[in-house]
Amino acid sequence: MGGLKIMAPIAWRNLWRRKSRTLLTITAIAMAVASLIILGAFMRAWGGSAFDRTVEALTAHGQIHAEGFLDDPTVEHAMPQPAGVLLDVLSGQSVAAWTPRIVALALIRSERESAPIMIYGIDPKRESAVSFLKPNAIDGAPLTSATSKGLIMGRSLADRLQVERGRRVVISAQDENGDIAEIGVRVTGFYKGQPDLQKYAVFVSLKEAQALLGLEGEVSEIAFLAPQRDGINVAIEDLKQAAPDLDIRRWDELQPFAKAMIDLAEGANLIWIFVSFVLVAFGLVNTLMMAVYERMREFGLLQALGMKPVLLLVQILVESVYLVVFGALAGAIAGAVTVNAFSGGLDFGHLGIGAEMFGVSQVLYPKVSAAEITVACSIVIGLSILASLYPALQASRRVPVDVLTRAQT
Amino acid sequence: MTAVIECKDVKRTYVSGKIEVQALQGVSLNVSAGEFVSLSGPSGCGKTTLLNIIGGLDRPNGGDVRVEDQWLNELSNSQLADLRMNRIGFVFQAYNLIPVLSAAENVGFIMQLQGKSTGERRRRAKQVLDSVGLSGMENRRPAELSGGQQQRVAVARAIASSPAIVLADEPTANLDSKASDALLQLLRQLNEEEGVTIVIASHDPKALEYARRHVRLVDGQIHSDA
Repeated sequence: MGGLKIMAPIAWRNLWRRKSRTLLTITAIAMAVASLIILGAFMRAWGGSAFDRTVEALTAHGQIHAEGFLDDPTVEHAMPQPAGVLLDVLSGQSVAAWTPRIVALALIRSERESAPIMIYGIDPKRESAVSFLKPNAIDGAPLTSATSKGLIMGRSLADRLQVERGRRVVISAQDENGDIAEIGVRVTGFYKGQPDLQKYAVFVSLKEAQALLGLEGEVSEIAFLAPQRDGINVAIEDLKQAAPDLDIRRWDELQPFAKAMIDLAEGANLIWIFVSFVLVAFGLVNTLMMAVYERMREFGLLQALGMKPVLLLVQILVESVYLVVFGALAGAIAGAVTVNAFSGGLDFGHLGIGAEMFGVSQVLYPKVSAAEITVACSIVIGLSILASLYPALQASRRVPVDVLTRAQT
Repeated sequence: MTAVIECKDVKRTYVSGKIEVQALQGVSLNVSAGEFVSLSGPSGCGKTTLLNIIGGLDRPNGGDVRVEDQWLNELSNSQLADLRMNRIGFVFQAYNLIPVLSAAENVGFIMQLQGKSTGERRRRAKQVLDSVGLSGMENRRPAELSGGQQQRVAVARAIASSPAIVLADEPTANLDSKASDALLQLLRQLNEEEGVTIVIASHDPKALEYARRHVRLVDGQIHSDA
């Protein structure tokens, strides 16, 4: 501590012997920290958006099926509607919301066209708590109960079938006896967004779908949400204990591509952290090396006066600490201000199709927390100080006479 | 009298590329406490090398040096630093002040390393700066002082911590005649009044007048000692 007390004021004054170099180094460090914070916030927003989009596009935090359904999504792999212990867990604290669904491959026909589809029988009230199918996501009349009449489809499919609201369509599917069952349903509305689902997913009430497929009292799928993202595993465990014979999976097992995209976003963040650090480290080492070699004679003098090598090391490290702490603080402020300026949403409308292809929304909402700023600063400060050890060790290991008296003999 | 510095067959060879330079070729020299010794000789004769080895700034290839009761070959770099800090004061040709410190801070720097209090350092720095004729210049940085003033600050720094030995390497080389006289007078006063042992390496005939013992080096060997 005594050494630090001696060296801190000297290090501070040394810093300002070359103001422009010091300011440039501080700026470089600040830019690295700011870029870590800004890019990190955008990548997290991207990852968060991709997650939200995946969850709301019917996947939810997890799903329950009868064994074999995911490989062969037919009526043979239906399961009873939840009851008993399973219902208790679904209604308990580890699950925030759940919804039963009938899911089946079917054929839809209008007066002019036909198309293969996936028909979903839903309980609209429960569904709106779990997925995107909320009343305000529907153009027209939404389904209002598990027994409602009518059909909701995407605009893409409607265009293909050349139907408008109020027109009737016929849905054909294989029932539980292996026969082809048909119902005629009137199109009551179109759902917004979800460009992928729009091409093939149509929604009718649970009762209507059960009646069509002869699955009274049965469902194909239960989708559920945990109270928080970090509570998903708890919900899965509870459900697996309650229903060991059912196939219960997390969202990322159901949507591995979405999971890969989110991992990619997080991986890109790590790569950027590495690149930023390498740039800062080289800049810092270069600056310190220049400062050290320029003052080698001075360091020889300090040792000649009785300063121990370790104190020299302390002096150079203290100078590095000043540089990186000021740089990191400036970068943290710049990063936080920039992220805050876009916290109301950054519209990537011009990238819309591409963004939605990757499962994210067109508007990203970057956010940064004090903890994330602290982590970014800590990474840069810690690694930069580590990088500055090299020139510091170089200086402290030189023999004083080599640099002090070379010109004097 | 007891030898405060004892050089025993000190040898130092430098290698520069493929050329080997024998700076010292077996120098043996005893300096008693309170002596004022000059080291003279032509350029490259080994004056500075001998001074550096006595001060523990360099290590010999052969032989050994004792300063007070410590043989330098037995000391680590850290112990050598302690020896320099507590027992030896250096005055260099090129002043070698710390540019970011004021005159008083430069003078008090060694005492700061020794762990002396701020008050004690300030008092002693002022006292020593007064004694070298730099009253009122305590707060000036080296860049704001003339060459002569800087060298006086360097002397003040060398004596501020009351070392037993002051080693001065060409201390008058960059000074005008008046400043040289003042500096040498100061060193003699220090030697006579405080009993500090002084070894001065110099070409300057005037510097030699102030010393009571003259050691002349030629080609890394003692040529005369009187």
